[in-house]
Amino acid sequence: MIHSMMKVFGSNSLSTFFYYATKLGFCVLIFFLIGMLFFLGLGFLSNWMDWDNSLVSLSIDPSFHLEILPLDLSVRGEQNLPSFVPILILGTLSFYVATLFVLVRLFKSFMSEKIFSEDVAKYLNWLSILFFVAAILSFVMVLGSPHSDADVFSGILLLVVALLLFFIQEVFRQGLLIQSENDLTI
Amino acid sequence: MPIIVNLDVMLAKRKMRSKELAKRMGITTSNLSILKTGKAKAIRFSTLQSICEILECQPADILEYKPDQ
Repeated sequence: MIHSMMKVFGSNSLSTFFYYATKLGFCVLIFFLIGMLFFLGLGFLSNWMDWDNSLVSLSIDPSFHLEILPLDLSVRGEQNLPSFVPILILGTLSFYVATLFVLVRLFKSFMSEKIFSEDVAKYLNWLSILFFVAAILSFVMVLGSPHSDADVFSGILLLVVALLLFFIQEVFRQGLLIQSENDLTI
Repeated sequence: MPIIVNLDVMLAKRKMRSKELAKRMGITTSNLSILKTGKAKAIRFSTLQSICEILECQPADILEYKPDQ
């Protein structure tokens, strides 16, 4: 009943709504990602942050002193931030930005009348790879970092979504094959 | 492809242009072109019937089988 009332693909459809929604989300998260990178850059420049030899953590001086000379601004304080948190936030933000980027392109493809296209299969494949990489990184964090908040179940869920997306992109490839045969049937 | 569509030959015999055939069949000239140039994967019986009615011919006059060598 809902399916017959709601236009899912094509112009002025649910896909159009999600296209603009994901585009907005992408713009917001890009803003935060750039802000995060700027924050980290400032931290390194002011020696508030420093890399240690570990791959997943960096040492952060609990007492920090940031000086932004052009603005004649000085910030001092104490913080109790676990060292791996900036990397975790950066990694998570990057994953969401990449996912939203692909989703924007996917929903834009769904806005056309022909949904079975090579582009849709390609974007679903990218999403599958993204989730697979996120699952692997999640498992690595669980195994490698004692401070990590990630649990095994998050990784398993990401892996399941990756597999599901992989099968869906194969379905779309089959659909593309059938559609092209239909198009060439006179 | 082993199946060859000899539509051009029949059109020449009946002194008809592709555009006119397409119009009478109710299909686009691009679709008819797909058929003529051998790019079509399949043809519907309804399409074949329409061609035979308009060109007053048999399916064998339009379709020929030549196995790949």
